[in-house]
Amino acid sequence: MIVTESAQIIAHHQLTEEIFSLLLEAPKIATQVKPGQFVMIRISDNYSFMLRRPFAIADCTQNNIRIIYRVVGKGTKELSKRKPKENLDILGPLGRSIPNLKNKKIALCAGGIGIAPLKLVASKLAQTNELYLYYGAKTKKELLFLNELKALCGKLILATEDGSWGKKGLIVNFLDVAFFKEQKIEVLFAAGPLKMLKNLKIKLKDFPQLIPYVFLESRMGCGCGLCYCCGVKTINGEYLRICTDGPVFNLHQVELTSLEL
Amino acid sequence: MKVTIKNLTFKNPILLASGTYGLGTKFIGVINKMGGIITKGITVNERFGNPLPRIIETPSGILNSVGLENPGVKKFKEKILPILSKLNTHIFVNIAGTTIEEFIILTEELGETEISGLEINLSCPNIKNRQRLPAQSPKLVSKIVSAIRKRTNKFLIAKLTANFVDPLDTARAAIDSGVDAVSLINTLYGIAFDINTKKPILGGITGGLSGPAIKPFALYCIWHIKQKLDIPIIGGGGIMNANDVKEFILAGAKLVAIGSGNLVDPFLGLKILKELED
Ligand SMILES: Cc1cc2nc3c(=O)[nH]c(=O)nc-3n(C[C@H](O)[C@H](O)[C@H](O)COP(=O)(O)OP(=O)(O)OC[C@H]3O[C@@H](n4cnc5c(N)ncnc54)[C@H](O)[C@@H]3O)c2cc1C
Ligand SMILES: Cc1cc2nc3c(=O)[nH]c(=O)nc-3n(C[C@H](O)[C@H](O)[C@H](O)COP(=O)(O)O)c2cc1C
Repeated sequence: MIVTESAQIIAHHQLTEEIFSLLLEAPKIATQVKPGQFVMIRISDNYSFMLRRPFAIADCTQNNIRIIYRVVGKGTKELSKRKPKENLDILGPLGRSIPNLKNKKIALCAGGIGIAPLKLVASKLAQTNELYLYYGAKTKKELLFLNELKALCGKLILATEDGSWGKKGLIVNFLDVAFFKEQKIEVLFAAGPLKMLKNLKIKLKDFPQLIPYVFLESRMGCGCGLCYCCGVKTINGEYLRICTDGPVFNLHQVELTSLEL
Repeated sequence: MKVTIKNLTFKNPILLASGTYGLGTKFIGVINKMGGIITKGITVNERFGNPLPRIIETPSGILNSVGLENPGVKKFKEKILPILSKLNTHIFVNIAGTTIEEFIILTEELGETEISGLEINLSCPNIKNRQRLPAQSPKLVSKIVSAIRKRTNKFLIAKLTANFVDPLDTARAAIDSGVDAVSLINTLYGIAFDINTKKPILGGITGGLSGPAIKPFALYCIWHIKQKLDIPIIGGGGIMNANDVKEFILAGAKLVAIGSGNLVDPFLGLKILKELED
Protein backbone atom coordinates (compact mmCIF):
# COMPACT_ATOMS: atom_id res chain seq x y z
CA MET A 1 0.00 0.00 0.00
CA ILE A 2 1.32 3.40 -1.00
CA VAL A 3 1.75 5.77 1.95
CA THR A 4 3.21 9.16 2.75
CA GLU A 5 5.69 9.20 5.56
CA SER A 6 7.55 11.92 7.37
CA ALA A 7 10.97 10.34 7.28
CA GLN A 8 13.80 11.45 9.50
CA ILE A 9 17.21 11.81 7.90
CA ILE A 10 19.57 9.45 9.70
CA ALA A 11 22.64 10.15 7.60
CA HIS A 12 23.41 12.27 4.60
CA HIS A 13 26.84 11.86 3.02
CA GLN A 14 28.53 13.39 0.07
CA LEU A 15 30.18 10.52 -1.83
CA THR A 16 31.70 12.50 -4.70
CA GLU A 17 31.49 16.07 -5.92
CA GLU A 18 27.98 15.44 -7.27
CA ILE A 19 26.72 12.25 -5.67
CA PHE A 20 25.05 11.94 -2.27
CA SER A 21 23.79 9.10 -0.12
CA LEU A 22 20.68 9.79 1.93
CA LEU A 23 19.60 7.37 4.64
CA LEU A 24 16.02 7.79 5.83
CA GLU A 25 14.05 6.24 8.64
CA ALA A 26 10.82 5.25 6.92
CA PRO A 27 9.48 2.05 8.48
CA LYS A 28 6.03 2.19 6.83
CA ILE A 29 7.64 2.25 3.42
CA ALA A 30 10.71 0.14 4.19
CA THR A 31 8.71 -2.89 5.30
CA GLN A 32 6.98 -3.02 1.92
CA VAL A 33 9.82 -2.30 -0.51
CA LYS A 34 10.56 -4.62 -3.41
CA PRO A 35 13.58 -4.26 -5.70
CA GLY A 36 12.83 -1.99 -8.64
CA GLN A 37 10.64 0.35 -6.66
CA PHE A 38 11.14 4.05 -5.99
CA VAL A 39 9.93 6.89 -3.80
CA MET A 40 8.89 10.47 -4.47
CA ILE A 41 10.54 13.01 -2.17
CA ARG A 42 9.00 16.37 -1.45
CA ILE A 43 11.91 18.77 -1.57
CA SER A 44 10.22 21.44 0.52
CA ASP A 45 6.70 22.34 1.53
CA ASN A 46 6.90 25.79 0.03
CA TYR A 47 5.62 26.22 -3.48
CA SER A 48 8.94 26.78 -5.22
CA PHE A 49 9.20 22.99 -5.52
CA MET A 50 5.70 21.97 -6.51
CA LEU A 51 6.54 18.50 -7.77
CA ARG A 52 8.09 15.71 -5.79
CA ARG A 53 11.29 14.19 -7.18
CA PRO A 54 11.53 10.46 -7.96
CA PHE A 55 14.45 8.38 -6.63
CA ALA A 56 15.17 4.68 -6.72
CA ILE A 57 15.46 2.80 -3.48
CA ALA A 58 19.08 1.67 -3.37
CA ASP A 59 19.09 -0.10 -0.02
CA CYS A 60 16.41 -1.18 2.34
CA THR A 61 16.36 -2.62 5.85
CA GLN A 62 13.50 -3.19 8.28
CA ASN A 63 13.21 0.52 9.11
CA ASN A 64 15.39 2.43 6.70
CA ILE A 65 15.74 3.17 3.04
CA ARG A 66 18.67 4.65 1.25
CA ILE A 67 18.64 6.94 -1.77
CA ILE A 68 21.72 7.59 -3.87
CA TYR A 69 21.40 10.64 -6.02
CA ARG A 70 23.30 12.97 -8.27
CA VAL A 71 22.83 16.72 -8.01
CA VAL A 72 21.63 17.77 -11.47
CA GLY A 73 19.30 20.72 -10.92
CA LYS A 74 17.55 22.90 -8.43
CA GLY A 75 15.62 20.18 -6.60
CA THR A 76 18.53 17.85 -6.01
CA LYS A 77 20.69 20.85 -5.07
CA GLU A 78 18.16 21.86 -2.44
CA LEU A 79 17.89 18.26 -1.25
CA SER A 80 21.66 18.08 -0.78
CA LYS A 81 21.41 20.82 1.87
CA ARG A 82 19.14 18.81 4.17
CA LYS A 83 20.75 17.77 7.45
CA PRO A 84 20.44 14.70 9.69
CA LYS A 85 17.48 14.90 12.12
CA GLU A 86 15.46 16.95 9.64
CA ASN A 87 12.39 15.25 8.18
CA LEU A 88 11.44 14.70 4.57
CA ASP A 89 7.95 13.96 3.28
CA ILE A 90 8.19 10.85 1.11
CA LEU A 91 5.63 8.90 -0.89
CA GLY A 92 6.11 5.21 -1.57
CA PRO A 93 6.79 2.50 -2.30
CA LEU A 94 6.05 3.23 -5.95
CA GLY A 95 6.27 1.25 -9.15
CA ARG A 96 6.44 -2.47 -9.62
CA SER A 97 8.87 -5.03 -8.43
CA ILE A 98 11.29 -6.68 -10.84
CA PRO A 99 10.17 -10.17 -11.90
CA ASN A 100 10.83 -13.01 -9.52
CA LEU A 101 13.85 -14.93 -10.81
CA LYS A 102 15.49 -18.08 -9.50
CA ASN A 103 18.50 -20.16 -10.50
CA LYS A 104 19.41 -17.94 -13.41
CA LYS A 105 22.56 -16.32 -14.65
CA ILE A 106 21.85 -12.64 -14.72
CA ALA A 107 23.89 -9.69 -15.93
CA LEU A 108 23.49 -6.23 -14.42
CA CYS A 109 24.66 -3.22 -16.38
CA ALA A 110 24.97 0.08 -14.52
CA GLY A 111 26.02 3.40 -15.94
CA GLY A 112 26.86 6.11 -13.39
CA ILE A 113 24.04 6.75 -10.94
CA GLY A 114 22.23 3.79 -12.53
CA ILE A 115 23.96 1.79 -9.82
CA ALA A 116 21.33 3.10 -7.36
CA PRO A 117 18.38 0.89 -8.40
CA LEU A 118 20.68 -1.98 -9.37
CA LYS A 119 22.19 -2.13 -5.91
CA LEU A 120 18.92 -3.26 -4.36
CA VAL A 121 18.25 -5.51 -7.35
CA ALA A 122 21.64 -7.14 -6.85
CA SER A 123 21.15 -7.76 -3.15
CA LYS A 124 17.79 -9.39 -3.82
CA LEU A 125 18.76 -11.46 -6.88
CA ALA A 126 22.06 -12.60 -5.40
CA GLN A 127 20.16 -14.78 -2.93
CA THR A 128 18.93 -17.16 -5.64
CA ASN A 129 20.88 -16.37 -8.81
CA GLU A 130 24.37 -15.95 -10.18
CA LEU A 131 25.20 -12.32 -10.98
CA TYR A 132 27.61 -10.64 -13.38
CA LEU A 133 27.99 -6.91 -12.88
CA TYR A 134 29.02 -4.53 -15.65
CA TYR A 135 29.55 -1.15 -14.08
CA GLY A 136 30.81 1.98 -15.75
CA ALA A 137 31.26 5.57 -14.59
CA LYS A 138 32.98 8.75 -15.70
CA THR A 139 35.96 8.33 -13.43
CA LYS A 140 37.30 6.02 -10.74
CA LYS A 141 35.85 8.24 -8.00
CA GLU A 142 32.33 7.60 -9.23
CA LEU A 143 32.60 3.82 -9.12
CA LEU A 144 30.78 3.34 -5.83
CA PHE A 145 30.15 0.53 -3.34
CA LEU A 146 32.64 -1.80 -5.01
CA ASN A 147 33.22 -3.93 -1.92
CA GLU A 148 29.53 -4.49 -1.29
CA LEU A 149 28.96 -5.26 -4.94
CA LYS A 150 31.85 -7.69 -5.06
CA ALA A 151 30.25 -9.66 -2.26
CA LEU A 152 27.02 -9.97 -4.25
CA CYS A 153 28.21 -10.52 -7.80
CA GLY A 154 30.38 -13.40 -8.92
CA LYS A 155 32.06 -11.32 -11.57
CA LEU A 156 32.63 -7.57 -11.87
CA ILE A 157 33.56 -5.84 -15.10
CA LEU A 158 34.41 -2.22 -14.43
CA ALA A 159 35.01 0.63 -16.84
CA THR A 160 35.61 4.35 -16.69
CA GLU A 161 35.25 6.87 -19.47
CA ASP A 162 38.63 8.43 -18.67
CA GLY A 163 40.38 5.10 -18.13
CA SER A 164 41.24 5.93 -14.51
CA TRP A 165 40.00 2.47 -13.41
CA GLY A 166 39.08 -0.77 -15.14
CA LYS A 167 38.56 -0.79 -18.87
CA LYS A 168 38.50 2.49 -20.74
CA GLY A 169 35.26 3.41 -22.49
CA LEU A 170 31.52 3.03 -22.19
CA ILE A 171 30.37 0.00 -20.22
CA VAL A 172 27.91 -1.16 -22.88
CA ASN A 173 30.84 -1.75 -25.23
CA PHE A 174 32.13 -4.45 -22.92
CA LEU A 175 29.03 -6.64 -23.03
CA ASP A 176 30.49 -9.56 -24.93
CA VAL A 177 28.26 -11.86 -26.97
CA ALA A 178 30.62 -14.83 -26.85
CA PHE A 179 30.96 -14.57 -23.09
CA PHE A 180 27.18 -14.29 -22.56
CA LYS A 181 26.67 -17.40 -24.70
CA GLU A 182 29.40 -19.36 -23.01
CA GLN A 183 28.13 -18.47 -19.53
CA LYS A 184 24.46 -18.95 -20.56
CA ILE A 185 23.42 -15.54 -19.26
CA GLU A 186 19.68 -15.26 -19.90
CA VAL A 187 18.57 -12.01 -18.33
CA LEU A 188 19.95 -8.48 -18.18
CA PHE A 189 18.97 -5.57 -15.95
CA ALA A 190 20.32 -2.19 -17.04
CA ALA A 191 20.07 1.28 -15.53
CA GLY A 192 21.82 4.45 -16.54
CA PRO A 193 21.56 7.52 -18.72
CA LEU A 194 19.22 7.41 -21.70
CA LYS A 195 22.21 7.52 -24.04
CA MET A 196 23.52 4.32 -22.51
CA LEU A 197 20.17 2.59 -22.89
CA LYS A 198 20.00 3.69 -26.51
CA ASN A 199 23.44 2.20 -27.14
CA LEU A 200 22.32 -0.92 -25.37
CA LYS A 201 19.28 -1.23 -27.62
CA ILE A 202 21.51 -1.19 -30.70
CA LYS A 203 23.94 -3.62 -29.15
CA LEU A 204 21.17 -6.06 -28.22
CA LYS A 205 20.68 -7.00 -31.86
CA ASP A 206 23.63 -9.33 -31.23
CA PHE A 207 21.97 -10.93 -28.20
CA PRO A 208 18.67 -12.32 -29.50
CA GLN A 209 18.26 -14.79 -26.62
CA LEU A 210 18.69 -12.29 -23.80
CA ILE A 211 15.71 -10.79 -21.95
CA PRO A 212 16.71 -7.16 -21.38
CA TYR A 213 15.05 -5.25 -18.56
CA VAL A 214 15.78 -1.53 -18.27
CA PHE A 215 15.03 1.16 -15.70
CA LEU A 216 13.40 4.13 -17.41
CA GLU A 217 12.98 7.74 -16.32
CA SER A 218 10.67 10.48 -17.46
CA ARG A 219 9.38 13.62 -15.84
CA MET A 220 6.69 12.74 -13.37
CA GLY A 221 3.73 14.44 -11.83
CA CYS A 222 2.26 12.27 -9.12
CA GLY A 223 4.42 9.12 -9.28
CA CYS A 224 1.38 6.97 -8.55
CA GLY A 225 -0.75 6.71 -11.67
CA LEU A 226 -3.12 9.63 -11.22
CA CYS A 227 -1.96 12.27 -13.70
CA TYR A 228 -0.82 10.44 -16.88
CA CYS A 229 2.19 12.75 -17.18
CA CYS A 230 5.02 10.23 -17.22
CA GLY A 231 5.24 7.47 -19.73
CA VAL A 232 7.08 5.63 -22.43
CA LYS A 233 5.71 4.80 -25.85
CA THR A 234 5.41 1.13 -26.63
CA ILE A 235 6.12 -0.30 -30.04
CA ASN A 236 2.31 -0.22 -30.54
CA GLY A 237 2.19 3.57 -30.09
CA GLU A 238 0.37 3.66 -26.77
CA TYR A 239 1.93 4.95 -23.57
CA LEU A 240 2.75 2.88 -20.54
CA ARG A 241 3.16 4.66 -17.22
CA ILE A 242 6.71 4.70 -15.87
CA CYS A 243 5.28 5.13 -12.38
CA THR A 244 2.79 2.26 -12.29
CA ASP A 245 3.68 -0.03 -15.21
CA GLY A 246 7.40 0.44 -14.60
CA PRO A 247 9.93 1.77 -13.86
CA VAL A 248 11.36 -1.51 -15.20
CA PHE A 249 10.46 -2.44 -18.78
CA ASN A 250 11.49 -4.98 -21.35
CA LEU A 251 13.68 -2.95 -23.68
CA HIS A 252 12.21 -4.69 -26.74
CA GLN A 253 8.74 -3.38 -25.96
CA VAL A 254 9.46 0.35 -25.63
CA GLU A 255 10.51 3.21 -27.90
CA LEU A 256 13.36 5.03 -26.18
CA THR A 257 13.01 7.94 -28.60
CA SER A 258 9.75 8.89 -26.84
CA LEU A 259 11.68 9.62 -23.65
CA GLU A 260 13.34 12.99 -24.26
CA LEU A 261 13.35 14.86 -20.96
CA MET B 1 -20.55 19.55 5.93
CA LYS B 2 -23.27 18.18 3.66
CA VAL B 3 -24.07 20.12 0.52
CA THR B 4 -27.13 19.66 -1.65
CA ILE B 5 -27.44 20.83 -5.23
CA LYS B 6 -30.64 19.93 -7.06
CA ASN B 7 -31.20 16.20 -6.62
CA LEU B 8 -27.72 15.37 -5.33
CA THR B 9 -26.46 15.49 -1.76
CA PHE B 10 -22.68 15.52 -1.22
CA LYS B 11 -21.28 14.31 2.12
CA ASN B 12 -18.80 17.18 2.05
CA PRO B 13 -17.91 19.92 -0.41
CA ILE B 14 -14.66 18.35 -1.64
CA LEU B 15 -14.34 16.86 -5.10
CA LEU B 16 -11.28 15.44 -6.83
CA ALA B 17 -10.75 17.39 -10.06
CA SER B 18 -10.68 15.87 -13.50
CA GLY B 19 -7.32 14.66 -14.73
CA THR B 20 -5.71 14.66 -11.30
CA TYR B 21 -7.12 11.43 -9.91
CA GLY B 22 -6.95 9.17 -12.91
CA LEU B 23 -10.09 7.25 -13.77
CA GLY B 24 -11.02 6.74 -10.13
CA THR B 25 -9.62 3.26 -9.71
CA LYS B 26 -6.72 4.06 -7.37
CA PHE B 27 -6.65 5.25 -3.73
CA ILE B 28 -10.25 4.14 -3.32
CA GLY B 29 -10.06 4.77 0.42
CA VAL B 30 -9.48 8.45 -0.30
CA ILE B 31 -12.13 8.69 -3.01
CA ASN B 32 -14.84 7.19 -0.84
CA LYS B 33 -14.34 9.87 1.80
CA MET B 34 -14.69 12.75 -0.68
CA GLY B 35 -17.86 14.46 -1.82
CA GLY B 36 -17.17 13.06 -5.25
CA ILE B 37 -14.68 12.38 -7.99
CA ILE B 38 -14.54 13.66 -11.54
CA THR B 39 -12.76 11.29 -13.92
CA LYS B 40 -10.07 12.13 -16.42
CA GLY B 41 -11.58 13.47 -19.66
CA ILE B 42 -13.12 10.69 -21.74
CA THR B 43 -13.31 10.95 -25.52
CA VAL B 44 -15.22 8.95 -28.14
CA ASN B 45 -12.07 7.23 -29.42
CA GLU B 46 -9.05 6.12 -27.46
CA ARG B 47 -6.36 8.82 -27.32
CA PHE B 48 -2.68 8.18 -26.68
CA GLY B 49 -2.07 11.78 -25.61
CA ASN B 50 0.76 14.23 -26.30
CA PRO B 51 4.47 13.46 -26.62
CA LEU B 52 6.63 13.75 -23.50
CA PRO B 53 7.43 15.73 -21.48
CA ARG B 54 3.93 16.43 -20.32
CA ILE B 55 4.58 18.23 -17.06
CA ILE B 56 6.90 20.88 -15.72
CA GLU B 57 7.09 22.78 -12.50
CA THR B 58 6.67 26.57 -12.57
CA PRO B 59 6.81 29.06 -9.70
CA SER B 60 3.93 27.95 -7.42
CA GLY B 61 2.44 26.04 -10.31
CA ILE B 62 2.39 23.18 -12.75
CA LEU B 63 2.22 23.33 -16.51
CA ASN B 64 0.79 20.19 -18.14
CA SER B 65 0.08 18.98 -21.64
CA VAL B 66 -1.25 15.47 -21.13
CA GLY B 67 -3.43 15.75 -24.21
CA LEU B 68 -6.40 13.78 -22.90
CA GLU B 69 -4.82 10.35 -22.87
CA ASN B 70 -7.74 8.01 -22.17
CA PRO B 71 -9.07 4.60 -23.25
CA GLY B 72 -12.09 5.98 -25.15
CA VAL B 73 -15.69 5.67 -24.03
CA LYS B 74 -16.26 2.03 -25.08
CA LYS B 75 -13.31 0.63 -23.15
CA PHE B 76 -14.08 3.00 -20.28
CA LYS B 77 -17.60 1.58 -19.98
CA GLU B 78 -16.42 -1.98 -20.30
CA LYS B 79 -13.35 -1.96 -18.06
CA ILE B 80 -13.56 1.03 -15.72
CA LEU B 81 -17.24 1.70 -14.98
CA PRO B 82 -17.76 -1.66 -13.25
CA ILE B 83 -14.99 -0.68 -10.81
CA LEU B 84 -16.40 2.81 -10.29
CA SER B 85 -19.91 1.55 -9.64
CA LYS B 86 -18.58 0.03 -6.39
CA LEU B 87 -17.41 3.41 -5.09
CA ASN B 88 -19.29 4.95 -2.25
CA THR B 89 -19.41 8.54 -3.48
CA HIS B 90 -20.56 10.63 -6.42
CA ILE B 91 -18.92 9.85 -9.73
CA PHE B 92 -18.87 12.36 -12.52
CA VAL B 93 -17.44 11.48 -15.88
CA ASN B 94 -15.64 14.34 -17.60
CA ILE B 95 -16.59 14.13 -21.28
CA ALA B 96 -14.49 15.79 -23.96
CA GLY B 97 -15.90 15.99 -27.46
CA THR B 98 -14.26 17.83 -30.32
CA THR B 99 -17.61 18.29 -32.12
CA ILE B 100 -21.25 18.44 -31.06
CA GLU B 101 -21.74 15.01 -32.58
CA GLU B 102 -19.03 13.61 -30.33
CA PHE B 103 -20.59 15.19 -27.25
CA ILE B 104 -23.88 13.57 -28.26
CA ILE B 105 -22.27 10.14 -28.65
CA LEU B 106 -20.59 10.49 -25.24
CA THR B 107 -23.88 11.50 -23.64
CA GLU B 108 -25.74 8.62 -25.21
CA GLU B 109 -23.05 6.16 -24.14
CA LEU B 110 -22.96 7.40 -20.55
CA GLY B 111 -26.38 8.95 -19.96
CA GLU B 112 -28.02 5.72 -18.81
CA THR B 113 -25.16 4.40 -16.65
CA GLU B 114 -25.01 4.40 -12.87
CA ILE B 115 -22.85 7.51 -12.54
CA SER B 116 -24.09 10.64 -10.74
CA GLY B 117 -23.55 12.94 -13.67
CA LEU B 118 -21.42 14.34 -16.43
CA GLU B 119 -18.90 17.14 -16.38
CA ILE B 120 -18.91 18.62 -19.87
CA ASN B 121 -15.34 19.56 -20.68
CA LEU B 122 -15.70 22.72 -22.74
CA SER B 123 -12.28 23.99 -21.83
CA CYS B 124 -9.43 21.54 -22.36
CA PRO B 125 -6.47 23.50 -23.72
CA ASN B 126 -4.52 20.39 -24.67
CA ILE B 127 -6.20 19.28 -27.86
CA LYS B 128 -4.23 19.99 -30.99
CA ASN B 129 -5.59 21.83 -34.02
CA ARG B 130 -8.30 23.42 -32.00
CA GLN B 131 -8.33 27.15 -32.56
CA ARG B 132 -10.84 27.98 -29.86
CA LEU B 133 -12.19 26.32 -26.77
CA PRO B 134 -15.97 25.80 -26.86
CA ALA B 135 -16.11 27.59 -23.52
CA GLN B 136 -14.76 30.75 -25.14
CA SER B 137 -18.06 31.26 -26.91
CA PRO B 138 -21.38 31.59 -25.06
CA LYS B 139 -23.11 30.51 -28.27
CA LEU B 140 -21.14 27.28 -28.55
CA VAL B 141 -21.66 26.59 -24.87
CA SER B 142 -25.44 26.92 -25.37
CA LYS B 143 -25.41 24.69 -28.40
CA ILE B 144 -23.41 21.89 -26.82
CA VAL B 145 -25.15 22.01 -23.45
CA SER B 146 -28.64 22.07 -25.02
CA ALA B 147 -27.80 19.08 -27.19
CA ILE B 148 -26.63 17.16 -24.13
CA ARG B 149 -29.51 18.25 -21.89
CA LYS B 150 -32.02 17.01 -24.47
CA ARG B 151 -30.56 13.52 -24.18
CA THR B 152 -30.07 12.96 -20.48
CA ASN B 153 -31.61 13.73 -17.12
CA LYS B 154 -28.30 13.29 -15.36
CA PHE B 155 -26.75 16.01 -13.23
CA LEU B 156 -24.73 18.17 -15.63
CA ILE B 157 -21.72 20.32 -14.88
CA ALA B 158 -20.22 22.68 -17.45
CA LYS B 159 -16.46 22.98 -17.08
CA LEU B 160 -15.71 26.50 -18.19
CA THR B 161 -12.56 28.42 -18.91
CA ALA B 162 -11.30 31.84 -17.95
CA ASN B 163 -8.88 32.03 -20.88
CA PHE B 164 -9.64 35.07 -23.06
CA VAL B 165 -13.35 35.17 -22.22
CA ASP B 166 -15.59 36.57 -19.49
CA PRO B 167 -16.76 33.42 -17.68
CA LEU B 168 -19.85 35.29 -16.52
CA ASP B 169 -21.17 35.17 -20.08
CA THR B 170 -20.43 31.49 -20.57
CA ALA B 171 -21.72 30.58 -17.11
CA ARG B 172 -25.00 32.30 -17.93
CA ALA B 173 -25.20 30.48 -21.26
CA ALA B 174 -24.53 27.15 -19.59
CA ILE B 175 -27.13 27.63 -16.88
CA ASP B 176 -29.74 28.92 -19.34
CA SER B 177 -29.15 25.81 -21.45
CA GLY B 178 -29.78 23.46 -18.58
CA VAL B 179 -26.66 22.55 -16.59
CA ASP B 180 -27.02 22.06 -12.84
CA ALA B 181 -23.67 23.59 -11.92
CA VAL B 182 -20.64 25.20 -13.49
CA SER B 183 -17.06 24.25 -12.73
CA LEU B 184 -14.13 26.62 -13.01
CA ILE B 185 -11.45 27.60 -13.53
CA ASN B 186 -9.77 25.04 -15.71
CA THR B 187 -6.06 25.55 -16.35
CA LEU B 188 -4.80 28.81 -17.82
CA TYR B 189 -2.88 28.93 -21.06
CA GLY B 190 0.86 28.58 -20.62
CA ILE B 191 4.09 27.87 -22.43
CA ALA B 192 7.71 27.48 -21.31
CA PHE B 193 10.94 27.50 -23.30
CA ASP B 194 14.25 25.77 -22.87
CA ILE B 195 16.71 28.61 -23.26
CA ASN B 196 19.48 26.22 -24.34
CA THR B 197 17.65 24.45 -27.14
CA LYS B 198 15.45 27.54 -27.75
CA LYS B 199 12.46 25.21 -28.09
CA PRO B 200 9.27 24.83 -26.05
CA ILE B 201 9.80 22.31 -23.26
CA LEU B 202 6.42 20.55 -23.32
CA GLY B 203 5.85 17.85 -25.91
CA GLY B 204 2.47 19.42 -26.62
CA ILE B 205 4.25 22.81 -27.05
CA THR B 206 1.62 24.72 -25.05
CA GLY B 207 0.09 23.59 -21.79
CA GLY B 208 -2.30 24.41 -19.00
CA LEU B 209 -1.16 26.22 -15.87
CA SER B 210 -2.58 25.12 -12.53
CA GLY B 211 -1.73 25.23 -8.84
CA PRO B 212 -1.41 28.01 -6.25
CA ALA B 213 -0.18 30.40 -8.96
CA ILE B 214 -3.71 30.62 -10.37
CA LYS B 215 -5.63 30.70 -7.09
CA PRO B 216 -6.27 34.47 -6.76
CA PHE B 217 -7.49 34.58 -10.34
CA ALA B 218 -9.73 31.56 -9.80
CA LEU B 219 -11.20 33.17 -6.69
CA TYR B 220 -11.76 36.38 -8.62
CA CYS B 221 -13.63 34.57 -11.41
CA ILE B 222 -15.97 32.85 -8.97
CA TRP B 223 -16.60 36.02 -7.01
CA HIS B 224 -17.15 37.91 -10.26
CA ILE B 225 -19.82 35.46 -11.47
CA LYS B 226 -21.46 35.40 -8.05
CA GLN B 227 -21.94 39.17 -8.12
CA LYS B 228 -24.41 38.73 -10.99
CA LEU B 229 -25.61 35.14 -10.97
CA ASP B 230 -26.74 33.03 -8.06
CA ILE B 231 -25.78 29.63 -9.46
CA PRO B 232 -24.07 26.55 -8.03
CA ILE B 233 -20.35 26.82 -8.68
CA ILE B 234 -17.68 24.15 -8.28
CA GLY B 235 -14.60 26.20 -7.58
CA GLY B 236 -11.01 25.21 -8.01
CA GLY B 237 -7.57 26.45 -8.86
CA GLY B 238 -4.63 25.97 -6.53
CA ILE B 239 -6.36 24.43 -3.53
CA MET B 240 -3.64 23.05 -1.25
CA ASN B 241 -5.19 23.23 2.23
CA ALA B 242 -8.35 23.79 4.26
CA ASN B 243 -7.94 27.56 4.31
CA ASP B 244 -7.93 27.58 0.52
CA VAL B 245 -11.22 25.66 0.59
CA LYS B 246 -12.70 28.23 2.96
CA GLU B 247 -11.61 31.03 0.65
CA PHE B 248 -13.32 29.42 -2.32
CA ILE B 249 -16.51 29.05 -0.32
CA LEU B 250 -16.29 32.72 0.72
CA ALA B 251 -15.89 33.67 -2.93
CA GLY B 252 -19.16 31.86 -3.65
CA ALA B 253 -18.34 28.25 -4.48
CA LYS B 254 -20.74 25.58 -3.27
CA LEU B 255 -18.33 22.73 -3.91
CA VAL B 256 -14.58 22.79 -4.48
CA ALA B 257 -12.29 20.65 -6.59
CA ILE B 258 -8.72 19.72 -5.67
CA GLY B 259 -6.52 19.35 -8.74
CA SER B 260 -2.75 19.79 -8.76
CA GLY B 261 -2.72 19.26 -5.00
CA ASN B 262 -3.47 15.58 -5.62
CA LEU B 263 -0.27 15.24 -7.62
CA VAL B 264 1.75 16.67 -4.78
CA ASP B 265 0.02 14.41 -2.27
CA PRO B 266 -2.57 11.77 -3.22
CA PHE B 267 -3.87 11.92 0.35
CA LEU B 268 -4.41 15.70 0.29
CA GLY B 269 -8.20 15.33 0.10
CA LEU B 270 -8.22 13.35 3.34
CA LYS B 271 -5.88 15.79 5.03
CA ILE B 272 -8.00 18.78 4.04
CA LEU B 273 -11.15 17.05 5.20
CA LYS B 274 -9.59 16.37 8.57
CA GLU B 275 -8.44 19.99 8.86
CA LEU B 276 -11.96 21.15 8.06
CA GLU B 277 -13.52 18.83 10.63
CA ASP B 278 -11.13 19.89 13.43
C1 LIG C 1 11.74 6.19 -11.34
C2 LIG C 1 12.91 7.14 -11.24
C3 LIG C 1 13.96 6.83 -10.40
C4 LIG C 1 15.05 7.69 -10.29
N1 LIG C 1 16.06 7.34 -9.45
C5 LIG C 1 17.12 8.16 -9.31
C6 LIG C 1 18.19 7.82 -8.42
O1 LIG C 1 18.17 6.78 -7.75
N2 LIG C 1 19.24 8.68 -8.32
C7 LIG C 1 19.28 9.85 -9.04
O2 LIG C 1 20.27 10.59 -8.89
N3 LIG C 1 18.30 10.19 -9.88
C8 LIG C 1 17.22 9.38 -10.04
N4 LIG C 1 16.20 9.74 -10.90
C9 LIG C 1 16.30 11.01 -11.60
C10 LIG C 1 15.88 12.15 -10.65
O3 LIG C 1 14.50 12.05 -10.38
C11 LIG C 1 16.17 13.52 -11.27
O4 LIG C 1 17.56 13.67 -11.42
C12 LIG C 1 15.63 14.65 -10.41
O5 LIG C 1 14.22 14.64 -10.43
C13 LIG C 1 16.14 15.99 -10.88
O6 LIG C 1 15.55 17.01 -10.13
P1 LIG C 1 16.18 18.49 -10.11
O7 LIG C 1 15.16 19.41 -9.56
O8 LIG C 1 17.49 18.47 -9.44
O9 LIG C 1 16.48 18.77 -11.64
P2 LIG C 1 15.80 19.81 -12.63
O10 LIG C 1 16.33 19.54 -13.97
O11 LIG C 1 15.88 21.19 -12.09
O12 LIG C 1 14.30 19.31 -12.55
C14 LIG C 1 13.25 19.91 -13.23
C15 LIG C 1 12.10 18.92 -13.29
O13 LIG C 1 12.43 17.85 -14.18
C16 LIG C 1 12.38 16.62 -13.52
N5 LIG C 1 13.50 15.78 -13.94
C17 LIG C 1 14.74 16.20 -14.30
N6 LIG C 1 15.52 15.15 -14.64
C18 LIG C 1 14.76 14.04 -14.47
C19 LIG C 1 14.99 12.64 -14.65
N7 LIG C 1 16.18 12.16 -15.06
N8 LIG C 1 13.98 11.78 -14.40
C20 LIG C 1 12.78 12.25 -13.99
N9 LIG C 1 12.51 13.56 -13.78
C21 LIG C 1 13.48 14.43 -14.04
C22 LIG C 1 12.47 16.96 -12.04
O14 LIG C 1 11.88 15.97 -11.22
C23 LIG C 1 11.74 18.27 -11.96
O15 LIG C 1 10.35 18.09 -11.93
C24 LIG C 1 15.09 8.89 -11.04
C25 LIG C 1 14.03 9.20 -11.88
C26 LIG C 1 12.96 8.34 -11.99
C27 LIG C 1 11.82 8.69 -12.90
C1 LIG D 1 -2.23 16.86 -15.03
C2 LIG D 1 -3.58 17.52 -15.18
C3 LIG D 1 -4.56 16.94 -16.02
C4 LIG D 1 -5.80 17.53 -16.17
N1 LIG D 1 -6.73 16.93 -16.98
C5 LIG D 1 -7.98 17.47 -17.10
C6 LIG D 1 -8.99 16.83 -17.88
O1 LIG D 1 -8.78 15.75 -18.47
N2 LIG D 1 -10.22 17.43 -17.97
C7 LIG D 1 -10.50 18.61 -17.32
O2 LIG D 1 -11.62 19.11 -17.41
N3 LIG D 1 -9.57 19.22 -16.55
C8 LIG D 1 -8.32 18.69 -16.42
N4 LIG D 1 -7.38 19.32 -15.63
C9 LIG D 1 -7.73 20.56 -14.94
C10 LIG D 1 -8.08 20.33 -13.47
O3 LIG D 1 -9.23 19.52 -13.37
C11 LIG D 1 -8.32 21.65 -12.73
O4 LIG D 1 -9.46 22.28 -13.27
C12 LIG D 1 -7.15 22.62 -12.87
O5 LIG D 1 -5.94 21.94 -12.79
C13 LIG D 1 -7.17 23.75 -11.82
O6 LIG D 1 -7.15 23.25 -10.51
P1 LIG D 1 -5.78 23.07 -9.66
O7 LIG D 1 -5.06 24.39 -9.68
O8 LIG D 1 -6.23 22.65 -8.29
O9 LIG D 1 -5.00 22.03 -10.37
C14 LIG D 1 -6.12 18.74 -15.47
C15 LIG D 1 -5.14 19.31 -14.64
C16 LIG D 1 -3.90 18.72 -14.46
C17 LIG D 1 -2.89 19.36 -13.55
